[in-house]
Amino acid sequence: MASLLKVDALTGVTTAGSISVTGEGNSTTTNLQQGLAKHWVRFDQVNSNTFGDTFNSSSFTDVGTGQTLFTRTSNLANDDYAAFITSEVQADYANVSNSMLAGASQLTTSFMSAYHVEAGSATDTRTITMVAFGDLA
Amino acid sequence: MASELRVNTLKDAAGNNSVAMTNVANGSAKAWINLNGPTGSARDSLNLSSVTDHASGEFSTNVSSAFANINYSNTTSQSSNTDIQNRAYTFVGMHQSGGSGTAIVAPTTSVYRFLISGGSTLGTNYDAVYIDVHTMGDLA
Repeated sequence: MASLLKVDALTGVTTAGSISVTGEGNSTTTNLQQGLAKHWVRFDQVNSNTFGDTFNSSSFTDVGTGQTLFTRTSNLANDDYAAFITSEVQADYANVSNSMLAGASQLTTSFMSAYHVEAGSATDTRTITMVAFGDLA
Repeated sequence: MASELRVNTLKDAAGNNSVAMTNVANGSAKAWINLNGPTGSARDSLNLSSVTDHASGEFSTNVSSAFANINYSNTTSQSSNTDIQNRAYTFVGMHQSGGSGTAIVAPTTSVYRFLISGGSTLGTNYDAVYIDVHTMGDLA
């Protein structure tokens, strides 16, 4: 029977922050809260530093060429979240281009750092996207 | 009291923001890790049973609950240890051979192998201090 549940919040019974969801193969479960992205960003560093869209960002800081800090609305519980970052090459698609986690500055509970490098130099990019998984505070 | 709820669709109380349970299951990350490359240990993780440190910059992550098939999707980002403007790359399933990644190691339903290369010297494999991996796919 098809079913529909209308709620504004889901909370675990045994542990408020832990709900199990049965996996696609029907034999194992995964943790709902831990499997959800807690922070994501699509950002344009070239055109006036604008968000394309974001979840759980309250503001940003233009740190310098190619580098932006995104401050969160809801903090994570610790510095040990897992983030992924990718970006668009600007000057020449033959350039070696990559985006990286910004070392120690990336590992705070309050913000996430994006850094785009192109042909060995910091460069503003029109598209930088990031997503982070981890534990909310 | 522990409980189990079986539904096909979730909505907010106003009847908006509908999401099917198939999307909840398919759209959730099934495994992730924040890995300390030099120590080969996880700072935090989901669905991780162990990490194998094969060689400099070359690791395998092993999950507790296996995937249904090997067609899952991984994304990986890493830090550059010495200079943020250095070039650093992650290669999926690469196996180190003679100091450079030359052989492909296919993933299994429980093991994903990858190689970090670049940093201060192109073509040199290295243990990034921060290596983050996410996996999306179907659990067994």
